[in-house]
Amino acid sequence: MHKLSLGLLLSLSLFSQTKAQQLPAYAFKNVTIHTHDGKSIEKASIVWRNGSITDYGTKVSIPFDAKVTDGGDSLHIYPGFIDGFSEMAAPDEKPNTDRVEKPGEPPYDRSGIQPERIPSASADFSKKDVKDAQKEGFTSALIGLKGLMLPGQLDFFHLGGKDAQSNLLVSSLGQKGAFKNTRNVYPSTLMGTMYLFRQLWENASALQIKQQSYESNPTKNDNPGRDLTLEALYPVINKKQPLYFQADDKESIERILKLKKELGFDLVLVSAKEAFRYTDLLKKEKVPVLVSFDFPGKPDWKVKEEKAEKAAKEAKKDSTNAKTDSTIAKKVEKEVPADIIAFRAKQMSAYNDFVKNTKTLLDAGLNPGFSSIGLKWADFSKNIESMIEAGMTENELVSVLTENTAKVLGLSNQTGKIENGYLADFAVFTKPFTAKKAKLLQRVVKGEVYELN
Amino acid sequence: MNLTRKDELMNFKMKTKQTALFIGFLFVFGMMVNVASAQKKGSVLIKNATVITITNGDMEGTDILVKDGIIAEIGKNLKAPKGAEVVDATGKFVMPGIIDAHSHLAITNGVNEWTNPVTAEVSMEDVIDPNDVGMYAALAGGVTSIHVMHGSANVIGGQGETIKLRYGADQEGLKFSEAPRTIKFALGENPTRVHGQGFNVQPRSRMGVEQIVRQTFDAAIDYKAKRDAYMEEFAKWNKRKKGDQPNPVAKNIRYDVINDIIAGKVLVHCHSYRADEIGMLMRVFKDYGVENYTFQHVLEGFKVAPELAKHKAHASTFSDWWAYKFEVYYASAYNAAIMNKYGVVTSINSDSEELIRHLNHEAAKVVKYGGVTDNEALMMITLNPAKQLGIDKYVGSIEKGKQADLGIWSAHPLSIYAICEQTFVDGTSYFNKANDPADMRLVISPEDDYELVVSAGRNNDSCMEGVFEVLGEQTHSHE
Repeated sequence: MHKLSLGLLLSLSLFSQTKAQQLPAYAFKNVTIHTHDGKSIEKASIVWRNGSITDYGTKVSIPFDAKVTDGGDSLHIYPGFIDGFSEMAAPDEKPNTDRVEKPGEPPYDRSGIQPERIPSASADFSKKDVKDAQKEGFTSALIGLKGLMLPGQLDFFHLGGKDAQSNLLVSSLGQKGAFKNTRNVYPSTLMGTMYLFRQLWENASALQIKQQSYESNPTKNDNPGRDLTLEALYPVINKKQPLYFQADDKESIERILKLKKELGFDLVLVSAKEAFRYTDLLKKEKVPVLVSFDFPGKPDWKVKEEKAEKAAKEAKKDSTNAKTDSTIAKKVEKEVPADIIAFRAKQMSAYNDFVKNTKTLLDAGLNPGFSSIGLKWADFSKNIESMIEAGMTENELVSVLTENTAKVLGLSNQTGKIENGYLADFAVFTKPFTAKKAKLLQRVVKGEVYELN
Repeated sequence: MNLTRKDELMNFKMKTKQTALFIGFLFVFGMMVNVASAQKKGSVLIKNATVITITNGDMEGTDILVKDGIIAEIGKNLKAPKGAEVVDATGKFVMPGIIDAHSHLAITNGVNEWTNPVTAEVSMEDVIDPNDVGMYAALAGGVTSIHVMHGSANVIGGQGETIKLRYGADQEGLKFSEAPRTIKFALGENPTRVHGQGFNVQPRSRMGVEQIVRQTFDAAIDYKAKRDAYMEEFAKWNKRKKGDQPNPVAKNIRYDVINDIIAGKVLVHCHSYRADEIGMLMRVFKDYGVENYTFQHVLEGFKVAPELAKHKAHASTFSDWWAYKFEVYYASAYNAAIMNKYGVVTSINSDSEELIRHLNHEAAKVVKYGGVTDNEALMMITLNPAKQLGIDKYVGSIEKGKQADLGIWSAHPLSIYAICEQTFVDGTSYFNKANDPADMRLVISPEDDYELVVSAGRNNDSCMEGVFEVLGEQTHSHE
């Protein structure tokens, strides 16, 4: 993984050396720059060329050839948001439910074992989810294909144009995994899935040794042949590539930690909606987390209660109605039995735990990154609002969406920050992005400016 | 009964306003969960009860002293050490915690990996659901340990897990750590129907079932020879690291489990009904040297009781449950009593999240229909299932040095009027009728309604769970 990204960086810098003077520079001036670590620089400028930031701050000399946009002190520039684990450009796949001859011995792909698949071969950047993510200020994403237990590799893309190959930034950053099984062939259960992870590791490890012996002495040793599916697991088995694994509830997190301990792979925990129950263990095991901003909705009764309260408040202004409304409210309250009151208290505490999940992980020093998995993009800003209500700050949010995510992906030397030499990926808002009525105006992706209409 | 401090707190709060009630409730609930997840080994003195020891008769007016989860003393006028809880059980009966040798409670996502006739590699250990409120209902019926089993769709099914009902503990915390490993086998209609009838895969007949067992055992023995030879070669190479690494024989998890069965490390629990197939498996096991196994259901066990005894095979059956499919039409409520009379270690199981709540009634039926003694009947839900699960050194009777898994009952547990009042696991109270909140769910989703409770019943946790929908059949017979 690191070799790959380093190679890419090298080729990028070579590119900039040879062609640097041919491409014009771009700049914003009179803008507020928000850095990944929560600082804001007012009346600042930022300059980029060839897809990389060349200068930023208050004392910047803008090159003569730069195409300059004057922000008029009203634009806010953030490092482009990074989605650390997503299926946004993954084509929809119809599950294959045809009967197989022996349901106990299906081909790999029917069991959902497809680690050799590569997203860049089939990713579709015209999908609605991609557009929705772009509208929220995302400029790059780690994308995997849809599927079951091992649906394929994870490629890191810019969210620029519609062409997958030109968006591709780093390929094969990790393997994608989940406790997901089919119904009509092996594994049809969670216990079957647990076993298959173990047996795949055994089979791939054995094949790897056989292939090595053959390569070292082909005339003496038997040729074990090839198995592209098992071979695709070698990097994870050899700890050259992490397994990005989706797990939400407490028991699923326990199960993947158990497999990690048994099989010894590097794990990135993804989605992790109940990770708040496991902060100590995750810290001890040094498991990086990409947390989903998806969480259960507020209980129905609470939503109703809040509506009623709001209505009552408004009615209070009209003094004639105030009395009748408050007596009705009291009556309703009296009818709720004690066990339901107790239940509701537990429900609210559960709801708060889920909303505060990201904050709890931050406070525990786990530095979680972001994953959009499970999240409907329509809920993104609404959920951010709830998280801020529950005590999260904008600075914390920015660090989760930028630097933390870049760190978890092992790309913090090239993206996730506004820093000279870093990728020119920004989001340009009309106000601080969590402020009310803040609007995304432009995205800069790999130095290219995309207007938002 | 004496109220504990927790109970008193609860009672006090009940008399106050609703708001105070729910704060109190949460407090008590929180304390209970904390205690449970820390897996506290409790210390308690139960005073002046009729103690049903199972192994040493019934002892009236007797105290049981529990220290750190272990029964320290049984006798009269025992004194509680400092800080130990004291429970006055005057007029009440104390019996060992009930053990259910056949349960499908507390399983996540699938009871049956039905897709292959042999799935020895899968294990309930991986998929325990610690949040199943059914465990609390079982505790309320005096149950303290259950054998969580794979379903019966396959000739050789998955491994089981024996757990203690430390409700509130996590997956690891529920494990009965001293219990040996177990595995489910299944004969007859279920595997022939699923694999033969459903997919035209062997076995299609009872003959095929026998051959699946033999073929699998032979293949496992063959694999072991190759794997052992490789491991030996590897060990030699590993010392000097000279030359090429020997070509590996990959570890085969499925066959490793089969070899562990042959080595006596995994106890077989075999779903069975008919006498002929019971006889068949005993012959097969004799050929491969497998001992210490248990027939589950074993409805025609009474026809081969002497043979069962001769092979030292155990039997775990229903009291009076039959005629739910063709191979089960020939059955008798006297089955358990007859097998017991021939010296077969016999237990009564539930195989149901409803029946598990009153296994004492099921045991009582064996007194009614087979005329066994009260003690023999209670043994069928305590010491005998403990033997079948290989945990009788630790639980199953009230003896000094055994783990303090106990139930306090309002009357003799075989009485239809008896109510379980308190259940202890490792000396810690996990159920107390005096403090029994309506809602004992451990995990509550913000989106669930209060009324949403998983319904209990025989059809809901059947041995064939998950199979018929795939086969596209409408029938939902239990077994």
